[in-house]
Amino acid sequence: MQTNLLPVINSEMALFCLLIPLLPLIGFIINGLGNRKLPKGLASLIGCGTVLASFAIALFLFSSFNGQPYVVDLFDWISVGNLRIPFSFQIDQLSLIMLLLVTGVGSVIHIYSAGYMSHDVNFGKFFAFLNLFIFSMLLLVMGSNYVMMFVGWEGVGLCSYLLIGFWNKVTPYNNAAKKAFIINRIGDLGFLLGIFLLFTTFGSVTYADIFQQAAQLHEVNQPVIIAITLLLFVGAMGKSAQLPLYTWLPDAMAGPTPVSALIHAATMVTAGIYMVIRSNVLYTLAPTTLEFIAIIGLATAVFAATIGLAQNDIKKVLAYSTVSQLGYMFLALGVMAYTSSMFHVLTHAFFKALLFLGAGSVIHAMSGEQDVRFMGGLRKKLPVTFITFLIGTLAISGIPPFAGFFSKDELLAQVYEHSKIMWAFGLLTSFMTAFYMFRLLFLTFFGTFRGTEEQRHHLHESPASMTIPLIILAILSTIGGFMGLPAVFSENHILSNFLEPVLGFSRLAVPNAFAEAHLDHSTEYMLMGISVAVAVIAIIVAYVMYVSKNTVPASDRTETGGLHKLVYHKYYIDEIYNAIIVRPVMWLSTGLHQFVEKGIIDPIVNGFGKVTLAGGRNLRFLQTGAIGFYIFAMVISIALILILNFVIR
Amino acid sequence: MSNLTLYLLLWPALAGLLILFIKGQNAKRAAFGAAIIEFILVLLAMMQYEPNANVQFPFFHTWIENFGINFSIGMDGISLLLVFLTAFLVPLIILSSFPHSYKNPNVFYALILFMQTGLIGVFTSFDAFLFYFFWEVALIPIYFIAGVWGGERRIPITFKFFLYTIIGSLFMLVGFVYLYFQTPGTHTSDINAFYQLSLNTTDQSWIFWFLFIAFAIKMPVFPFHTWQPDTYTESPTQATMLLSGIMLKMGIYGVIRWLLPVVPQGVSQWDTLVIILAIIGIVYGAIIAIRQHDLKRLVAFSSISHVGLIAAGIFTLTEHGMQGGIIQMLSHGINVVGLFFIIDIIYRRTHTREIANLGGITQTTPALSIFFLILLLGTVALPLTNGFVGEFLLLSGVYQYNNWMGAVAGLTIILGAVYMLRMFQGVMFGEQNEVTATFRDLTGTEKAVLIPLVIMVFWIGLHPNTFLSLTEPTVGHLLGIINR
Amino acid sequence: MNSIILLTSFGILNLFVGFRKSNKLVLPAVFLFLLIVLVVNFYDWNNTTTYFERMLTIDNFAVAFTGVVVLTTILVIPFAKRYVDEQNESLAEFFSILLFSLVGAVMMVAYENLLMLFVGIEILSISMYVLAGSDKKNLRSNEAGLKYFLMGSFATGILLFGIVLIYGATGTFYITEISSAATAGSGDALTSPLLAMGLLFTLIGISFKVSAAPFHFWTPDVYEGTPTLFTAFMSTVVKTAGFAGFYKLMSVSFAGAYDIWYPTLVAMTVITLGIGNIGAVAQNSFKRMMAYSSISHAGYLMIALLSFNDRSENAIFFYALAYSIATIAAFGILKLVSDQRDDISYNAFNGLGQTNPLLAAVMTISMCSLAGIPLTGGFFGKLFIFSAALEQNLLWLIIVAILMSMVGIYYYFRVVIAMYMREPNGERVAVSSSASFALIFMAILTIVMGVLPGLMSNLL
Repeated sequence: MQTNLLPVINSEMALFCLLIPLLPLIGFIINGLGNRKLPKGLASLIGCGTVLASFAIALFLFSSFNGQPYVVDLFDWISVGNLRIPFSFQIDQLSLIMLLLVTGVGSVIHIYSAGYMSHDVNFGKFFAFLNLFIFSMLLLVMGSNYVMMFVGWEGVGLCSYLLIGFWNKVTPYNNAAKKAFIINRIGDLGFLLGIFLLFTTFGSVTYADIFQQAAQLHEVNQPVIIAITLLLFVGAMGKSAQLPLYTWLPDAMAGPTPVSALIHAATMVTAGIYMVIRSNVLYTLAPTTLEFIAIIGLATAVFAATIGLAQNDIKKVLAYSTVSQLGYMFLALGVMAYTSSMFHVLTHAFFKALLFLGAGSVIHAMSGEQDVRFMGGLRKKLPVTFITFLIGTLAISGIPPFAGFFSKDELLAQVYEHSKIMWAFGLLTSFMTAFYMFRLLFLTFFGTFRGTEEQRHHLHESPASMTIPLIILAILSTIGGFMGLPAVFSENHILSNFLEPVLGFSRLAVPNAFAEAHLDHSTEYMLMGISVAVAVIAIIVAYVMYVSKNTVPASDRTETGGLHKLVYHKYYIDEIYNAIIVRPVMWLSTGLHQFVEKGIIDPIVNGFGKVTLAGGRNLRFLQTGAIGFYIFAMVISIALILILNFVIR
Repeated sequence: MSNLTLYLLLWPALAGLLILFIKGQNAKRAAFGAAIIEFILVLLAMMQYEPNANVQFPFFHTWIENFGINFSIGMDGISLLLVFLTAFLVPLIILSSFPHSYKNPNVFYALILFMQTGLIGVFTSFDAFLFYFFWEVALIPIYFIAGVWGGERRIPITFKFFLYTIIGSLFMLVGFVYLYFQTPGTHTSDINAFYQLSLNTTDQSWIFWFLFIAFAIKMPVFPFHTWQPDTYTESPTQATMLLSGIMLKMGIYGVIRWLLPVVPQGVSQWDTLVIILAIIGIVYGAIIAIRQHDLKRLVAFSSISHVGLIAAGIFTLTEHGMQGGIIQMLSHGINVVGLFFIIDIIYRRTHTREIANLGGITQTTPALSIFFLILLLGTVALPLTNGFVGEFLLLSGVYQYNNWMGAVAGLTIILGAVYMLRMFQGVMFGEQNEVTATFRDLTGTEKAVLIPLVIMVFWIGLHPNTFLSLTEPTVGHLLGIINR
Repeated sequence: MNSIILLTSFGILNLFVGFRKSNKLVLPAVFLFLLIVLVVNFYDWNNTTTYFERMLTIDNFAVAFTGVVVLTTILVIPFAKRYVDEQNESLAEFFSILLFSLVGAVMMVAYENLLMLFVGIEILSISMYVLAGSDKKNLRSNEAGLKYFLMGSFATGILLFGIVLIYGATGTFYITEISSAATAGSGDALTSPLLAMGLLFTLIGISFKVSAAPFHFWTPDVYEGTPTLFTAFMSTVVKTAGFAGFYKLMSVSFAGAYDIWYPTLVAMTVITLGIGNIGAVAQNSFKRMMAYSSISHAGYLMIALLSFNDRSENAIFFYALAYSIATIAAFGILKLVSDQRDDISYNAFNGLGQTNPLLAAVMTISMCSLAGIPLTGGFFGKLFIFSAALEQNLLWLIIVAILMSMVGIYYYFRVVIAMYMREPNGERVAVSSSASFALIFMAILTIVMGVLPGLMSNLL
């Protein structure tokens, strides 16, 4: 059963693969133990250095990759009976892309953090956690079996917990962290059950084995496959903040901004998409699940976008846009546009990281202020931030030639093929996205400054360590799109060509799944035109509302209309969850303890003792001390004995 | 060294007797030394142990002639693992008491060592009556430790614990006596004779309960658990550690060794019920733990939840469940002892175990925070810590037994995170208050206790095969007997 | 036989010792006498001989049980020191009576002929009546003596009646011949209500002596009133001898009539277990608790009687020995403590663990033994009895017994809790070296029986 279908290599190549996750781990250990003792310079050097090194190695692996996936076996981790879980890495097109993304964006954000966190006492701790996150994320994408993926899966969850609650003096932050971990755990349970079902079905947890066998199934929509894919997707819902498990992500913005950028925008939240693409053969075999995913994705996209419209916290807006964009990616997965989804993962990683870091730079300048209602006119004071932020905004709104345009357009085109209604909703989402992003941009950088006096004095452009990363990401967000030019422009789509082999098993299993029913060019032009037009209209509307009319969102106190209020309060989802889940559990906890434990079970146990004691007390009444009674009693008993022996029988 | 088991068994008792004559606090050092020697002996045993299903280092001597009752001890994989757990934890438990100065230290530490003999006897006896003998011998010392050195409400609570557990074990005794008379020829209480018995189903089904009650109370499985939270709370920390870290495993071990292979048909009649009870226990304990405000009680209820999972896994009679249960015994022992020790540290510094009165401790205690976090992650079964291996295998076993039960049991993954993180946040995070403002970080001794535990957390988490391979042949052997 | 002769002559000799003004010599003398008896007694081991026209047989059974009763008596002596200090003028007489009563005990375990049984029982009982009332200035003691005498004579009447009826049915007093009549005499003899009635009356009479319910009423009151020293003697020697005699009668004479006495005895057993254990729970006086505990142990011994097979003889012996040792130790410590603290309730023992570690330790061991907890003789005593019963398929009876011994653990451990977990309410209890020696000896013996039961588990 446990045959490795992929070539196992253990040459110096294996050592490199090992080094990629190992270096951040070492960084974590050094920084973790040396927190506060190490000088900040050294700490940041170790923190960034290790990740950069991993990035370099990843690049080297990428360049020397000959298209043939291979496995690096380190040691047998858990082996019980016929279950054998090796601790091993799988290097193929997909993991390489993710490697580059994680280490690349990772190192950029590490560098940024060196500047952003420079005033924090727990500087070393912060880098330690970041490195630990990189380590876990690398395990997640490099693992050669589902349990390894689960290791990373839980590991990143832990890091996000630690980093959201990084400023652990503040109780709301801690609550946010706890919420993130627990909601992720809900998803993880689904994932875990999925793994068990995988094992009971295929007798293995290793990708190669499972996919090999799955490819032989051919017949689609087998219940067991649907069950597996759904269970795994539950995990993805938690990790990638899809309905109904998305609520932790907006709260996660409590963490330092680089964390939001790295974990809650660029990398961790895309783990769900990675998982689905990794298991594409299973999902291809379960169209029902795909339909479900598409609906969930779309719903999330629209839902989150509407909330984004009314938020005033700069990071909250970005958070909801992230949720919405993730919805997009799942929508794409739902229509089996695996590569397009990956494409959007990459571009989104660039521009969303950029936006968050930009927001961070703004917050840095505004000395902690996050509410856009008290910003405005910052473009003169923070030119670099403004330009980069603008690029990011254009990219996410899908304005050519920025990265977002290409990925989103390709994605929407695929959706259009699948179903026109979904496409329409997708378009609506992109309209809203463009609108609230520009609303954000205008409120922050245009108009007049609305903050306090000493904030105005304090305003300043961030240091180079922060602006350089912004510039790098800006460049990526600008040119990132060209790795996947639409068919109309060029016939070779670099990314999808590169990722082609990953989908091999899918094609094997369901040959007609990817039937190239390509749209003719006119339709494609039409679609592009529409989406661009929509975006432009949205931008104009936003400009009219927030620049020319220069309206500022009303403060929280003033009563607002019903619908706006509903959206402003995020549809009261958190409150609802509290009412229907959290409180009942709490009541149950008290109830069980008070009434079942102390009211039923324990009394029964003690009851036995009480009864015996009572019996003893009553027996004392027989012991009157009067001889007459004793003799009488004995005579009675003798009589009884005789009767029993002679009369009864 | 062929009689290694015998030495392992007798040494603590002997040392305990000697320590009775040491006056003053030197007793604790002597006891620590003795426990370390015991641990070294166990390491020797592990080195000489060949990984196969045979009973090794056996020692046999007729105990009650022409009754067929023999003093027959030895170690197979499972025994060795649990003896290792015992010998690993006892020194740490003794070391953890160094900051305390209990009255009559010589008696206190002698009792701990006597209990160690009892425990090792339980894990190594291969004769029913010998097993029962040590089963009770292990109980008496812990009762005195808890009852004499415990808190205010100790007398009724520990007495309840004592009566409850001993009553359970008396049923076990009846079961054993009955089985003993079913053995052919001049009767014998040798374990293999019990394994070869082929009783009719009705006998098996009542004997099952006579034996199971004893083990269920010891573990404890819902609804036989009500002695446990109070006892854990009222006992001195060392007693709590002994109870939760090692003694609780007696029950699980009893199930594996003396219940499943002896009355397989009885098991197949009742396993569903037991697993359901166990799973109820998982959820029940976890949910109650969420709202506990006393740290010790919180961990006590969490322990009910964890043990429930172990019981459920073992009763699935799958290799995953068994192996998972065994490795989880090890992990749970390590984690729970660590947690109780940290609670003890906090209590000694602040004189409170109320979560509400604590908070912000982490700001002055980097070291404590790290150790606490690691042990906590082990408890919530984060991958690459010891907890994960056990819970993964156990849940997999339960899932193979029944998907839905697996799903319900899996709630422990979520609920465990809920109560543990709530505890961690309440104690370590937030603003400092007057109680915690001057909280001192770990001392050398405290680190000396925690470091071995943490090493084990990662060892089991990263390379569980070290221990899994130890027990695999034995488990296979037992499963063979059960499924015959 | 030697033991009977020696005991009698020593008894008389002891009276002369008593003539001296100071009775310092009495205890050492008695101690020495009994030691000699114990040693000489074992000369008869493995040479069965009969005396008085086959009315007495000294076989291993008799020797073994004689050993038990003599040993227990020896162990009582050291605790009598207080009498010496108080210059109790009639000390010698008491101990002569003690020696004479032992003669009765020996006859009870060695009889071949029902008359001998009767005479033995009477010798023992009458001595007991006297000793119960021996504390002349103490009203309760007098009351106890009187009570015991009145009810005892009632029971004696029953017993005698029973014996006579048996004689009427079978025409003989010899137990072996009775058995042939009771079995071989098949039809007529067994069905004759005469024999059955006689058997039942005898059974009732003996049950009274061993304080089995529902003929136990005298026990708590008498035990409480009787001077602790003699309570100890009463609750051990009388019970041991009684059960030995009981067992001999049932196994030799009425083996064939099992069906007749089984229902009655089994009913009585259950009642005895119940009343003994449940009754003990609610007591606050340790001495009274011990009285009930002696009732409950009668219940356990009756199980061995009922199981009635090759195991039960040894079981009874082992159990009786373990029980006697533990009981003597418990009463001895009670005497030491109550003499000083003038209190026979549980509270008298508070904090004994701190003031008198030795007393506390021995008491704990004895209580564990009585409760049947491993590492002590009591555990194997119970184990052997249960296994004997299980071989007779009396599982349900064992379960009753187990449930009751659970109750037992409760009241036995109350004193342990008092000793170790409560604060002392009095200074250290003075203990004579001889007493502590005896206590240590008993503790060791109990432990040895608990760890190496093989030594005594199959003497007979």
